Amino acid sequence: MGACVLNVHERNGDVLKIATLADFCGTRWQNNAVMIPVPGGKSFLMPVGMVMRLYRRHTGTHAVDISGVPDGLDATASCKGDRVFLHVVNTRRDRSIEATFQIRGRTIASGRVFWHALEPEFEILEYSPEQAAKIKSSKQQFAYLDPGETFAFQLHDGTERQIRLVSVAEEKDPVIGLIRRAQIGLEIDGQPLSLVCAPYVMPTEIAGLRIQADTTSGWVTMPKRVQCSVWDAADPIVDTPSFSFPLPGYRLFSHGLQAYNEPVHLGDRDGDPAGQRFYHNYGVDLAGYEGRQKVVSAIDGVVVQSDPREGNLCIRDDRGLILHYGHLESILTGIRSGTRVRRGEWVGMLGRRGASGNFSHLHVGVYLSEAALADDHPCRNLNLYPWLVAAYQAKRGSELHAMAGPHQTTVVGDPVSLDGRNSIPGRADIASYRWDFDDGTSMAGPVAEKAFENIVLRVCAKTTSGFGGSATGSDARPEGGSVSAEILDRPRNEADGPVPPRPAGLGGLWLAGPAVAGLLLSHRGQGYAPSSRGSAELAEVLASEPNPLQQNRN
Amino acid sequence: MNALDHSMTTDQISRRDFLVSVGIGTAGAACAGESPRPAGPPPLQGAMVIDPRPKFELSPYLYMQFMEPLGVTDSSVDAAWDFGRDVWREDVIEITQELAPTLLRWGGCFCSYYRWREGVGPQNRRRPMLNQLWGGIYNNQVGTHEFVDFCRRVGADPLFVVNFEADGRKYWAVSPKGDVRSGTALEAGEWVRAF
Repeated sequence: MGACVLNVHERNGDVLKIATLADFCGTRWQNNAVMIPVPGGKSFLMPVGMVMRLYRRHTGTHAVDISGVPDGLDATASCKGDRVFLHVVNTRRDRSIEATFQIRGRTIASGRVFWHALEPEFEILEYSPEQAAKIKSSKQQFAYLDPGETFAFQLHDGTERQIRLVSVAEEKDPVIGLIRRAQIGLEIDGQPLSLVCAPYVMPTEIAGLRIQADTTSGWVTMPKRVQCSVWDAADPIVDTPSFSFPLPGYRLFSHGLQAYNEPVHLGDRDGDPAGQRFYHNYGVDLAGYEGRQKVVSAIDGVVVQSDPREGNLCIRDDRGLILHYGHLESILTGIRSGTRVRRGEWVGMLGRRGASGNFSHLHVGVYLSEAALADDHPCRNLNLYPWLVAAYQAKRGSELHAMAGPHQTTVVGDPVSLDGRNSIPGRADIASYRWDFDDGTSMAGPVAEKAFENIVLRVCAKTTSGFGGSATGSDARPEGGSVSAEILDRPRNEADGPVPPRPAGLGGLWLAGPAVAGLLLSHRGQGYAPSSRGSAELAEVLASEPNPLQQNRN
Repeated sequence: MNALDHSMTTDQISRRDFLVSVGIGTAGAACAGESPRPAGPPPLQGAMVIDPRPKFELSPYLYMQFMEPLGVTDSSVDAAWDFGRDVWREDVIEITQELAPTLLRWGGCFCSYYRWREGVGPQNRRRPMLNQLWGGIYNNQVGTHEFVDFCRRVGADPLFVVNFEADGRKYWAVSPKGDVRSGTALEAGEWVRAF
């Protein structure tokens, strides 16, 4: 309603020169732009303030005419130089209205949309971190570049950053031949910047930008060499009020996690109809208990695909993004194509249906369109990993997570480099790293290099009450059971498929994440928080007993 | 609660033909001024048509705010002021910078019984006044200087409402306690001269 009033002001701007929509600030009026909590707290914008902020920031200097506005919409337009600003209000609370527009005598070169979508009835009663995030916006853009090409990104202050791709150097896994990481050479306004494109890497902040190398054409078929995500560094990674973490009450974030672009492995009997054994994960896998972990919709949207047999569920939001869940154990009755779901609404249970590798987990992916989903692997999607980290941190921001991924493949006897630098620090900087190996040795520092011999198949599990004493003073205290290290000896044979030739007599070894090492991290002045994936010292070796989460993985 | 404040890239927009399907929105489109096709693209059936020729100038003050001591009705100015430290609450400054009003007006009905001199000078010697409309006693700790300071910090132009003969209302001209609250043109002129 408020936006309609601002449109009235704008239409009558030839005679109206001063106006407002709100009372400015106070402690109780719902029409205040700014609500001030007393006796203390953090002031926040009320809906009317959000609408005023939107108009204040996105209005031209001169009004222009607009015609042909469909029923139900209220629209005004203005311009500033060669930019045109369009203010559109959907006055219908019960449905969406689709409309297109054109600018007479001009060709639209580029455009941006900002929107507020508030539930028809809500009342803001207090400041919350979610509301703080809501006040900001997430303006992630995608830059698709070939070497030599430049992408211009505009910051909030109006300045532009020129992002130029200089070089791409991919590094392949020596055993299975999949790309493991890429070094991306960029220039930001002429200043060189080197980014690592690899699983578990979070975006880098530089010169007011937040930037991430999402993927390259070595990983995925795409017309350009590199896909980068770019944000204004003042914006959040993802707008957490519109994207939530899909697993409520989840405490296993880094347990059995498989990130975007991570090389993953399926065994002979693990259900991949294409018979693939190794491939890059094109979503993010979150381990959990089959049939015992609720899954909720991360977004508001409409179900566009529901396949209980394979455990696939796809939900499209109003922007056209498709959220894909895989391997669900069950999908609630009533959640079927066409059903409208709300963010946070329970849709099913986590499971291991379909090509899960018998690994009980939720596969989460976001595709930019339904066409991309139909193409499946080749034409994807968005690097969801930073979104999930941000959404998880919005709930449990102080937790420390040891990350020693991605999965690696190596040959028995060759050194493996285990890198803990992608660990998530939580509320403070990481003060120290310690690697405990199951041969009784330890190493310090963020990166540990070690060769492994005499590997035997075994599964480690810890199923009692968290991680014990060494986690005291830390928030990283998973409830219930959790998975620890996993080492699968996989002597190579000719039937294995696409494993490149290696010297005779050596077996291929599949190392899952930190595998044989427990990575321990600590915040300054606190006890160590063990790696969620591989704290060998705490794990009980259950030599032949199947792991409840990751049984029969090979 | 669901609120989105998002932008889309050009890429996504072209994909969806700029569908406007939720809530309220503002879209900005940059036109190629020197279009290779002066006539522009062929008209779309049913599309909204924007004529980009400027019709009239829009005042930046269409997005102003006003601040008024609302007494016991809604503790606006008092809640924003840190009385212990004689400064504005920092969280109020920050959120107002976010709101970015172009102009802030001091007072509304309140100014019909506001005497500006009571709100200047050392804070411990400022005279409290009966807030006739909104209830309670206004302490005058926030006066002209403090208000202008707030405006500067949030980047807004200040605007003062003058007491023009108590807006012609007898019940405001003299308070129930017998104070003369009506202001004169001379008093308003002195206010302008003083600042």
